[in-house]
Amino acid sequence: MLKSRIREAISKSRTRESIEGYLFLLPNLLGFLIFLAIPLAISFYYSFTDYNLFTTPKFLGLANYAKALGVSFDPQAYQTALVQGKSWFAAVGAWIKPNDPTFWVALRNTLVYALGVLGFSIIPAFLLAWLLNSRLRGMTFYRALIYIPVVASVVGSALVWNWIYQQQSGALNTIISGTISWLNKLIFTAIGHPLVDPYIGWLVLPQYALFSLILMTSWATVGYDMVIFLAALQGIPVHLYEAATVDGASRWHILFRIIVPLMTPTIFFIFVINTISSLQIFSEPYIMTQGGPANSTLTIVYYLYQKGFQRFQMGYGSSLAWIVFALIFIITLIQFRLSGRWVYEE
Amino acid sequence: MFSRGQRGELLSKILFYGVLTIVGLVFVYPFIFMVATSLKSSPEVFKNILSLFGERLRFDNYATVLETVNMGRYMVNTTIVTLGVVAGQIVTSLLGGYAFARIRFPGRDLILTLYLGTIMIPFTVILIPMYKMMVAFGWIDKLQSLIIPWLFTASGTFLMRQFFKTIPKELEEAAYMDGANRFTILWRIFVPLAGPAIATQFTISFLYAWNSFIWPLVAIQSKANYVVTQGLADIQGGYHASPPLVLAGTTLVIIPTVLVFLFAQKYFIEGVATTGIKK
Amino acid sequence: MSDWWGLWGWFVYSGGGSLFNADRTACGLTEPGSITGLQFMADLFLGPDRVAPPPGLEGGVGETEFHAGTVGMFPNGRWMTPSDRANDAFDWAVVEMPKGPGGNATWLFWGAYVINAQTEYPQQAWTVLKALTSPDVQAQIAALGTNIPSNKAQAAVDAFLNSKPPADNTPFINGAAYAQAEIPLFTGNWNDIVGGQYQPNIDKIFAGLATVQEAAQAACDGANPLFK
Repeated sequence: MLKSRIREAISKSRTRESIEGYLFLLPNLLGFLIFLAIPLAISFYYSFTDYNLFTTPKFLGLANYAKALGVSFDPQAYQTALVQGKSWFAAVGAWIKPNDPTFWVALRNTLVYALGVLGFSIIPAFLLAWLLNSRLRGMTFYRALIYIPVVASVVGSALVWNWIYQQQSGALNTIISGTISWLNKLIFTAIGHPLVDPYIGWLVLPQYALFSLILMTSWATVGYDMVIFLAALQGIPVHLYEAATVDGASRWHILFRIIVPLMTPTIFFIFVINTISSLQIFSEPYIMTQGGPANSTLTIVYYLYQKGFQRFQMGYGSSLAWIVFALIFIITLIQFRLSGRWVYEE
Repeated sequence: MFSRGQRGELLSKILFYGVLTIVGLVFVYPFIFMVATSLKSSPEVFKNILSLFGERLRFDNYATVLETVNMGRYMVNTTIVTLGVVAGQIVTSLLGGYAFARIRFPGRDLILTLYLGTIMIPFTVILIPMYKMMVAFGWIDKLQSLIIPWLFTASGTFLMRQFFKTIPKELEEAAYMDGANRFTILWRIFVPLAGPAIATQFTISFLYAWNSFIWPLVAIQSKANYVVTQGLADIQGGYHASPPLVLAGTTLVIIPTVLVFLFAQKYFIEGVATTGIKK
Repeated sequence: MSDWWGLWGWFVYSGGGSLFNADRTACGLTEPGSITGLQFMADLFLGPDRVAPPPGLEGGVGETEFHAGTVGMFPNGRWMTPSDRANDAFDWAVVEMPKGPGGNATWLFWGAYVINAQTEYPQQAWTVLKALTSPDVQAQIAALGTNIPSNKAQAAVDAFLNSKPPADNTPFINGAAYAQAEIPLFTGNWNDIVGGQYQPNIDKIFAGLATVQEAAQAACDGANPLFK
């Protein structure tokens, strides 16, 4: 009798607790449903149609995906290229005819962008974190200086960098020219080999434009990576390297044999987070180069924006969006798989 | 004067601070350049882009940008949007964080995992349907399209959950025995303790709303409702050959975010470091 | 912005070529006149004499350099006048674009006033339109510096001619006689063809990554399937 009453009371309070739980979560659940789950479903549907904003969408099956990802082959072109004496590599290039060549250009640019930002941000960030992990005064100040580019608006930063990168009178080329003429005066003219001012068109030449954007995005990423590294460094128990110091290990030994292995989970985390955000780069090319010159800074998301919102091919745009999603998912999955090989776990 | 050891230590200290100062300068130089250029005239910029000062400080560039280019209006719009988003995200993440940290209900862990998984979904996937949805709701070209869909945050909810988990249960148990309901407990016990987490979330939401660009670009069409990032793109379109005007506008957009960051940095950096929230 | 066909398009027309064939149903960049014009342009930028600075951001060529005082002239449109007035501490003037083998060439950029056929207020819209195009308002618009008046009434023309600097505004009016109108294609999408196919290939000429022939061929190969 008593037992069943207690049970009843407990189950009543359990039910009440559950209801309360859902009530507290309700705003989030509703927001998630209306502004994420439903749009996701619609976007998935659009990606199989010819939706163009003005007419009723017509179902196309996989046609959009085939347009983006599909290729056809042209054996004739392969032969011609070989006959013309082009390399085998170039001949294979001529043999494969992508249905939408611009998509592949955008994909390549996006992957190079992501890799570039990883390379140019992680290593400086790690070294800076290592420097700043010190008990000397003023570390918060330097940390703040390096973090400011992370909080600044990407659009704003891009406009500033426009004038740093400007070829004729921009800050960077002015600094380079000044340094070179100073060096020439100092030494190189005297020894008969004056240095030539490279006068680089940072944003106007396809050879440099993507690199210039990578450099700028890295500048705005280093602070974030550094803060994460710093937290991880501070989490490493002091006794671990004190013991090594006592044993007479060198600084480099401590860094590469003790600290870096202990940091691999953090390095891995930064890899994943930075890849996810780099694959979605849009504002930088939109503001600075409009995807040019010669499509050299056209990223997938910018291409999606062009197709969807400037040319109203929203069905095709949606399929591009799902391809970006799939790409992020696959790359993240690969990184997780590979992490088993190099990420240290206790 | 100094012993050899002392001198070596002093030298390495000077070297250490020297390196850090140079690196720090490299990182903030673009902003120094920005402010310096915004206070010069165009001919002064073209004469020597590196000089920090022109003949005098030309604050009238700011007046031009605020009035002629209407940046003042855009700043008001953005402030409204940002305040709405910040307040909303803090409230919903407090509620959700509390539910995930303290209330037992079926499916809780699964929901949390799914919710966190949504962080991986690129916003561009829903860009087109969201645009369509705003048209259907009649919100297109209105500020609510920049506020209401963005009142919810998976990462913020997670941040609050992590913080609430560190609060000892004893604190709320006494109140619970006295018959206080959960809402009172959240408001009276958790919120006052959650200062650092709220400061972190405030900063993250602020930066997110103030700096957002691609969504306003799609959702807002008339200039009266532009936000600052759109205003910047607009200045760039019309005045791209006048670096002082472009960079005066840019300074107006960047300075508030830097100030918020500097005020909140103690908590904010810690919050970023412990949860890994990027933007 | 930087995808600006206005600049190189001018060379194409002054060389005697065209962006399209006569009925605007195919790419015209590989025609001899177009090649002549593009080659002339490429030589200006890349040839041994290198008289022109490389194209800058925002598609302008020489614009920043002009303000900096390092080049003597740059091609652009009337809409740049207010910005040039603000930017330049020195005197400057406007002339017609030089003649090429294809004769005089320039672009006619225009903005149309339209009334939506389904508007609920046709009468009011018509009143606004009449007011906008009245000599009086056109004169005011012309005085701002951006536009050439769309009303030939003497008051509007005078206001335009007297909107200084530049000291002499007649080159703008003379250009109207031979200008190429920037008009939509009959059989394709301007953005897809000119922005998507022509521009990236022309960029390669400036970057020295393709010859004029190669670039024109690639542009036409990419663009021709897009004319429906």
